[in-house]
Amino acid sequence: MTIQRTDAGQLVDITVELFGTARVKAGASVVPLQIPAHATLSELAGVLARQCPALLGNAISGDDEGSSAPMIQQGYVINRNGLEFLSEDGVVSLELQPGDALLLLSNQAGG
Amino acid sequence: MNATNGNAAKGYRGRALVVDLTTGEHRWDPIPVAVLRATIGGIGLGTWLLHRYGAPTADHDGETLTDADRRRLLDSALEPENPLIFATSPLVGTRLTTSSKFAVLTRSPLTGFIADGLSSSHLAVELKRACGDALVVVGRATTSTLLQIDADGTPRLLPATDLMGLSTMDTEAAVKQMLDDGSRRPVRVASIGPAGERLVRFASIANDGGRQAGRCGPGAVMGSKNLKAIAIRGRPDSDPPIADADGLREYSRDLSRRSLGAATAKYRELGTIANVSVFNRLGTLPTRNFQQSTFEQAEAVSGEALHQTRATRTAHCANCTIGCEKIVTVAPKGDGATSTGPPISARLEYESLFALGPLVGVGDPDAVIRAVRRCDELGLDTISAGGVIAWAIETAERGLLPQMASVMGSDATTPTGLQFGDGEGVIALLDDIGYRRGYLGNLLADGTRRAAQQVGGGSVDWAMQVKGLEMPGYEPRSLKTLALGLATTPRGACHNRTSAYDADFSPDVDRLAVDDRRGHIAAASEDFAAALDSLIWCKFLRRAFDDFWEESANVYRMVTGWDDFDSAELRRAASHIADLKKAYNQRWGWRRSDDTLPPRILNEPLTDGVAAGVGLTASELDKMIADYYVARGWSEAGQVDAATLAL
Repeated sequence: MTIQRTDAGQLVDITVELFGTARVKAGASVVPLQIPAHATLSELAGVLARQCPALLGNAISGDDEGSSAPMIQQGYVINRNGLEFLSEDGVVSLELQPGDALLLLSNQAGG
Repeated sequence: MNATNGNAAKGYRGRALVVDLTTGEHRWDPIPVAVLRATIGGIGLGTWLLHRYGAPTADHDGETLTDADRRRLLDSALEPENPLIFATSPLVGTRLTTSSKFAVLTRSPLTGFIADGLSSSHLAVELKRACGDALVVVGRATTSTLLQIDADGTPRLLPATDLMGLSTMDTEAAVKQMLDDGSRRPVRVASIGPAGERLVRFASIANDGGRQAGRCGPGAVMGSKNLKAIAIRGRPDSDPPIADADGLREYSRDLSRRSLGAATAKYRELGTIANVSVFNRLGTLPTRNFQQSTFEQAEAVSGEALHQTRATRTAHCANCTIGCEKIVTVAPKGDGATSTGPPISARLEYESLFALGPLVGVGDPDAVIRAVRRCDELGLDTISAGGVIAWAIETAERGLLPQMASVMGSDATTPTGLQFGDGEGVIALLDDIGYRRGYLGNLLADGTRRAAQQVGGGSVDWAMQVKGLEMPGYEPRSLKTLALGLATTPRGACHNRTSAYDADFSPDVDRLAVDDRRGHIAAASEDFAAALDSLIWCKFLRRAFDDFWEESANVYRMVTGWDDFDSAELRRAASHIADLKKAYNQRWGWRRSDDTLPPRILNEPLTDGVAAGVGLTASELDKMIADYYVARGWSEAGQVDAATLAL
């Protein structure tokens, strides 16, 4: 999926891997995305919500009318390539690399 | 005499019911108000009671004891003097969500050290109504016994010979039928299964339809007392008064609302079994006795797959809004065409799923579910059961149990040549362990450490235990903060008395590396767990609090009426409880070398998954442990100053 962007941000191909309820709701475990390398978490959430509307209200907050900015919902966290948990600060650039896998999972690890 | 004590603080009874099974006598022992305030309840109060009723005749210095003397000391947990303690909390009996919980404490027959477990649901409420703040069982009955505690707190010892051999579920049903007096409120029952009767060292105590106080073998202690079951029904009008009932009611409504938010979504929706696919992806799913950190069949046993392919329903503990329990139903053994008997249901938690699935290489979800159910029926801790079987399979593969057929014994049911992935073989071996059938069943019934010491041949190197307690489903080489928690927690390899893994699953630390902050983080997470476990809140509620310490102190004030109790005092109490637990181990001969991890963890880097190549060296662990002792305020040798423990 290509997004329109007015600045010169380079687009990179990444995947988002879904876990838990997000996977069940979306009916998919992996979602391929094309997204600016300097995208923020909020921008990632927006692209992902457009690709998988079922995630709105489940793992992504906001609404499908666009009246509020989408965000990764409280209770979820993003991990890069299985190695690095990303800050929940929505305005920091993710500094994405082509081929990155972003894991969308619960921030609760209790068992 | 009932449990009411007009001199106690609100929210408490101020006394414990002590039952001596040897003499058949009972008494009410007062608990000083200062003790209640300093230890809160649950695990904290239970630990204080363990010092009071379960101390050695003389304190021991583990560093100067001979190995033989120390082994004899630690092996004495099945003697009648070891108390079995059920402790409630000031929140039990309120309408606060998740508050219907109780602690079970004793000295562990697996580790020789403190065993502090939690269970939940209706039994917690009846315990407090009938027994006060705690029930302490000491001594040993001459024959199998049912301890019935009447509404006025009077205990009766009834013969339980007819209950012997029954599963935990059947025991509960039989006791309820036996004591049915037509009341709308049934008695609540704690019981052991065949494993507890046979002193399997990781036997559990079950209550309320299959909830388990599982870890560290409290069921074996109960079995050693010839105590098959405890049946309790208190009076509803005997709940202790609440200082600010209106305020608590208002807070309770707000907390219940928050408990249904995003902070508990994972537990409400898929339950803890959602961990499987995540842990597999992160390279922290222990597989085949910790030889791998990923499992190629993880998808088949994942929470997502089970949710979509198996009949699943949600269950709640009494007074809980979250409902983390997922009851999964499968056909009995065999495929659809050959299956016989009714469907089989089991409460499926991540730890049970991990231990009887990836840890033993089993990717057939139906076999895992049947194994979990069998553990619950026999009264076996699923984590230890899976752990000791995983050790046995690897040991056999390495040729150290080469004559499997000859060591099984004629009454054993385990097939010869048991191997990783053999789900039906695992179930058969569970029965041999639970009934102590044959050489192998008896060997494994004593736990991984003892089995490895007996078999020798270097098998201690892959005996995945700490202090004798089998390891939970979190790979410590790729979760470095948790590694420290597992090494130092007083009850052994336990993920519940420390929440150190929270840091590893966050941006706060690099989970694959070691740094000098881990000692502080592990100590703080241990204090946090001590507060949760003493108040007692369910851990799954922990992120629903806006400010855990302030809110919990406020709740405690509303219940007790101690208006000067603040969050700083709660933090001090939590830290003190952690000290009390460690001090108990010290009295029973703890050594610095007990705080460690298995040789496999310290000598073998991971070989697969995203964390391939990552290891944890002994020197890295020692440095973290030293930092942890500093953070706790203990000596360099890891000793608590006894003078700081006086109440």
